[in-house]
Amino acid sequence: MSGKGLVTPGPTMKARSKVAVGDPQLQAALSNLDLRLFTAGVVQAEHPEWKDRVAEIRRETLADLDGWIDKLESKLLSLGVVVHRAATPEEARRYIIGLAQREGVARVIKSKSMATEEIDLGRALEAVGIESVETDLGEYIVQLADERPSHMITPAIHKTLGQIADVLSKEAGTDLPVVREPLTAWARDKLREKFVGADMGITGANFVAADTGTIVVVTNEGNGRFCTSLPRIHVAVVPVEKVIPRFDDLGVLLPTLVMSATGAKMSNYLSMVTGPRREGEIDGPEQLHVVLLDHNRRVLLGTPYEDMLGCIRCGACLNVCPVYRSVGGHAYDSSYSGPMGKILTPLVTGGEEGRDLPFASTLCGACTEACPAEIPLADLLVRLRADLRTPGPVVVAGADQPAPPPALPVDHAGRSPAAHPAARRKPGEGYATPVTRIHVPTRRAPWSRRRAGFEAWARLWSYPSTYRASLAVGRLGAKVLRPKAGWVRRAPMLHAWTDSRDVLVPAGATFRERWAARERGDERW
Amino acid sequence: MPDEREPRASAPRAAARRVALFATCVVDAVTPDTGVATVRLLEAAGCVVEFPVAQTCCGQPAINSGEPEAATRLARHFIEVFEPFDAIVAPSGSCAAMVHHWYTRLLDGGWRQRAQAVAEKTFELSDYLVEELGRPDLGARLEGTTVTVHDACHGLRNLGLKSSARTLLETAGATIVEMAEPEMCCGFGGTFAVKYEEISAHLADDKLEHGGATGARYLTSGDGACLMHLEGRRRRTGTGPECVHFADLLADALPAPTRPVAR
Amino acid sequence: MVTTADEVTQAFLFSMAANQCATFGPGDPDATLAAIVERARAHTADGTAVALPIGDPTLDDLGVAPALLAAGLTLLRPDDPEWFPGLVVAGVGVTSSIAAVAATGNVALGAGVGLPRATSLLPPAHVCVVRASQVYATFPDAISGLLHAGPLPSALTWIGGPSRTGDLEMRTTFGVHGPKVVDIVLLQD
Repeated sequence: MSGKGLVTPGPTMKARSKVAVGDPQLQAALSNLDLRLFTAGVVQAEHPEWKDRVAEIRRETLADLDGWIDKLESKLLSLGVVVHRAATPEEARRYIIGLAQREGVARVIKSKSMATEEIDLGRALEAVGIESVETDLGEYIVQLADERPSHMITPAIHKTLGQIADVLSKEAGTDLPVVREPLTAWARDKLREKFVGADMGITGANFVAADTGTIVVVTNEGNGRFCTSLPRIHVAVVPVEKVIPRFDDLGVLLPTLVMSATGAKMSNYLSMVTGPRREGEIDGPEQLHVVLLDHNRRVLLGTPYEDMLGCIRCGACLNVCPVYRSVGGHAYDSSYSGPMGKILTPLVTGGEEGRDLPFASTLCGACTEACPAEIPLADLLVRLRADLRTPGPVVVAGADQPAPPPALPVDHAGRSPAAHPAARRKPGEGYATPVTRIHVPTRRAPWSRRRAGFEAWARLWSYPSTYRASLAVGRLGAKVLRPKAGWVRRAPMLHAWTDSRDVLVPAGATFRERWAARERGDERW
Repeated sequence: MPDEREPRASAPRAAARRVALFATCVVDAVTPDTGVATVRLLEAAGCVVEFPVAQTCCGQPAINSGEPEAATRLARHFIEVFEPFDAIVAPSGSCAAMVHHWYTRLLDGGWRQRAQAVAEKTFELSDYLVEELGRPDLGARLEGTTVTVHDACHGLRNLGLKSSARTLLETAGATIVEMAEPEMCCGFGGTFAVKYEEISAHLADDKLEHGGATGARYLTSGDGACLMHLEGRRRRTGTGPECVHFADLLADALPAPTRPVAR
Repeated sequence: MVTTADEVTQAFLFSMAANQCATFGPGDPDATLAAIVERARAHTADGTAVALPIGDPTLDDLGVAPALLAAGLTLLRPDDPEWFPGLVVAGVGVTSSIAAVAATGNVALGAGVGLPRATSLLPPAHVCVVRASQVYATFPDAISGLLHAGPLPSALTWIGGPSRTGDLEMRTTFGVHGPKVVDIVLLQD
């Protein structure tokens, strides 16, 4: 899923972050994110009752995901939809490419979709000689620049208008003005040529209703409408967790998604596709294919990571994340960025990618607070840090999962209803009563220097005498290596701190020494 | 923002209360003055303060580094040290949040019940003074002092702390000037501060810039580690207001700088 | 919170206007028809055609097709073998909606026989006739209402206003792929 062949500015998140923080153009572009900072609270403010309902619907779905998928599949089949279940991105790509080749498809038009990013479908189609055109304006810009989208809602957020004009001018073969309207008008005309005569439209799905078989695609520009209306074949790539039990659930899910994504009350277009074109209709796809993508998702069911499958891809956690806002999406080098990407990437890649991502977080919890699906993102990041000590996939298929905690009422996610984030944040509940054993690693971690170091430290600090001794050693070390107390610019062995900040070298007594002195009457406070 | 929390079941009591101070390892080792300030504020509120000398660290560095076993060991130690007391008060929202949010997740069975009981009587300093004791007026006078308040993340999001430090400062007569995005992380994040030092410094600069834009004399907060990070950055770049724990600000403004030994 | 039918209607017009639509009405059938003809004429002043579905009950009841012809406008209908190439160069598509929402400001169009999806997509302007009786107060109400009104159409398209994007430095820019102009004509029924 790493968009093979893409140039990334470093092998680790740390290296890429360093580049990103020092890139003035990127920083200027990212400052536009301030406009979306408020979106996370909009749903809560306008429809406080919806947030719990959204989480409820998502949990109901995940509690019997396979059952809902079966129900969806039979409904789709009854509508004349071809359903293909793909366990891996490879399988999904093979199916779609095979279909395109069989049908003699020369050009594919794509609507913005995280799932097709995840399986790197556009490049796979191009590799076999099928033209694949991204039709969302932001995605189109990113495609022309041979980059990866850096934000799931606003793919070209990392580019300034000047950079966008450069990209489009290069494709136009003439200098386009650095003004939004003419740039948009040029892209409209250019992409119209692509829409007409495309044989296949490929979309993701924001939701798919199991009871009606309705595929929902949310857009603002109208490209989703083109992709689902004009080509004779429509393929929807649907990660399994996109299923929802009922069409009726869309009433709450869609406005919540849109408000959390952009702050708007509703997106400009919603395409709700229920089966292919019907008899007598003169447009709409003759063939509709739904590719249900698992890619290490179902294995998460029943584990503490199940909650992650409740994600509705609104991007609210990206918008409020201090790290995302500092470095943008490319620093993550993954289809999914921001807090949800740090969790989802190592999970769905079976631990093959993004193992350093969960550590790139201050654990400030702004993501958890913003999430309309009540996913405890910060807690999952902490848990992942522990689980990633063991090489290989985070969750192994067939392995025993930790039992839910005993003697306390739990919901299916191993969590007491009272411990749901929304419940935790209710006024009057400043002090939470959490019960989930969320951090306990699934498997025993192998030896590592970090682990040994922390265990030795914890042993030492479990006894007052050795704790006291270690403070004394620290003081002595500070005195020997750096006799001057107070704020200093450099201190031995602390360069990772002092490269960017002064450090406070403590002077005199520790607090406990001063307390003892006061008890003796030697000191008055 | 008004504090909408319901009053706690245990009503404020006028009689002296026995309070265990959890100084936190940062205060113990690096900023002992903040510990002294905490004791003075609690005593000004009429508390009898004890300092259980067996205390060490809440274990947060371990859990945040993905080492829950080590964190569990320190969680058990904390519970053993502090469970005899009526109330446990820490001058850190983050350390108090560790006890509240993580101990019950780390421990099982009987230990979990003990963790739950300890968490219920563990408080961050401003929360304890304002909400639990109902004593926002400690006699500190800060008229003419302008401050801006950074809402440190764990206190804010795990404990729901928003207004209590502001109430203490305002009651003392300080003028609070709110900065832009007071709830945005300062970039400390424990080991993140050294692991992702560039992002960390970038976020500190944003915070200091926002704080500086208010024209306030001090940027204050309830977490010593965030403040060490911010003040260290301020001293390096020369931008932003002086970063001080609210306990230090308030204790320095108490009427009698020296009090008789408590007992 | 909107409650009475009149309040819902007014809220709907307000929301559509906020979404950068031109709004007309509420009016009786005559006024509605006059508004449709006037808007169609305005959008085809350069001699382009008006794309009009076949068998749309609302448009048929109003007599839109004869009125447009009487006004001297060129019609493009789905039974025309040159429908699709004609649509690419048509000046406006006229449709009705099967539901609308006051709170969010959007209208729902159903595809069907004689009711192609592209009527409201390809031309640069879209005129949409909305019956006041089909305006729901909230989006969840409309979703439930549509579900219980009968089988869902193969394509149910919700439209808020002119095509727009936030992809250029997050500032809203209009007229990306879909119509650049959307006129809402509200029929008091």
